[in-house]
Amino acid sequence: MKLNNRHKNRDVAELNLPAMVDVILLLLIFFMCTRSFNDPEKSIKSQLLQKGVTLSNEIDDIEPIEITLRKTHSGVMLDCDGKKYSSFKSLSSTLRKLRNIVDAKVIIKSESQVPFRYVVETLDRCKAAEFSNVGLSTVELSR
Amino acid sequence: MKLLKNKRTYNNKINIASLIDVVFLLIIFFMTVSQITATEQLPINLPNAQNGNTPSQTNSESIIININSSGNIYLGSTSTEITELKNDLQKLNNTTNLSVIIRCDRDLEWSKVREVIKICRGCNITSLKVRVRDISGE
Repeated sequence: MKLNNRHKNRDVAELNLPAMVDVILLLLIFFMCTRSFNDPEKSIKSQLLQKGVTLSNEIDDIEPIEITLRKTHSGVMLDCDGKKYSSFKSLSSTLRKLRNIVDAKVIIKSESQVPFRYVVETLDRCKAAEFSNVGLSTVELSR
Repeated sequence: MKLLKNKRTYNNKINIASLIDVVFLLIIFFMTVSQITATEQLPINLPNAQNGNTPSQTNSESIIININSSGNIYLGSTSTEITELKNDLQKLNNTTNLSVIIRCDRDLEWSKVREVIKICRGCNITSLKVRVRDISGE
């Protein structure tokens, strides 16, 4: 006689796949919706010109380069050490030439009405020319 | 005579295992590429630049000043007025050597930004960074 003493009620460990797929798809939709498509941001460092304090002690004897921005009908007029430039491209080449001579400090001055993007573009061009001391002046320019 | 029927059956089952693989890969992709937007970063149309540096992790000693196209100022995500900004910055600058990051709308007049920079200077803040939209890859 065969003894029938074995347990025959085996637990079935099956995955509930349809429910799992539902959850995964929901997760996928969640991450697709919450994904932020932000533009990549970067920083440009600028010196804050303190009253009576120069940008760097090492280059005190060198005259700083002053760039002035004035608003025009078409955009902005740039003035670098007395010379006028209508485009940032021409200013860039001048800045590169000046930088090849010495790493002078650069002070950016702007008229009140000039949009901020032009000030940042000037700052950007100075960084491209590898000037290490670039400062934003808070002096109000008269028209 | 019995006609032989074509008894080929088609397997119409979807291969769930490979589907799950693909969906998991998609989830991992979206999890890794998604940026957790900092609450301090309000949506602002930043000026373009090519030579910016990748911002380091914003630490407790740096504060973001957001200025939108209307000239409204936000210290972090909190709206503030130009008259209150000085007091706020002085309180913060008492404990640490504060560094200021300015996120400003590209079309805003310089005079508005200048006022904020003046206040920063008045609070003896020496480190100033301007946030830009990176176009070096375009």
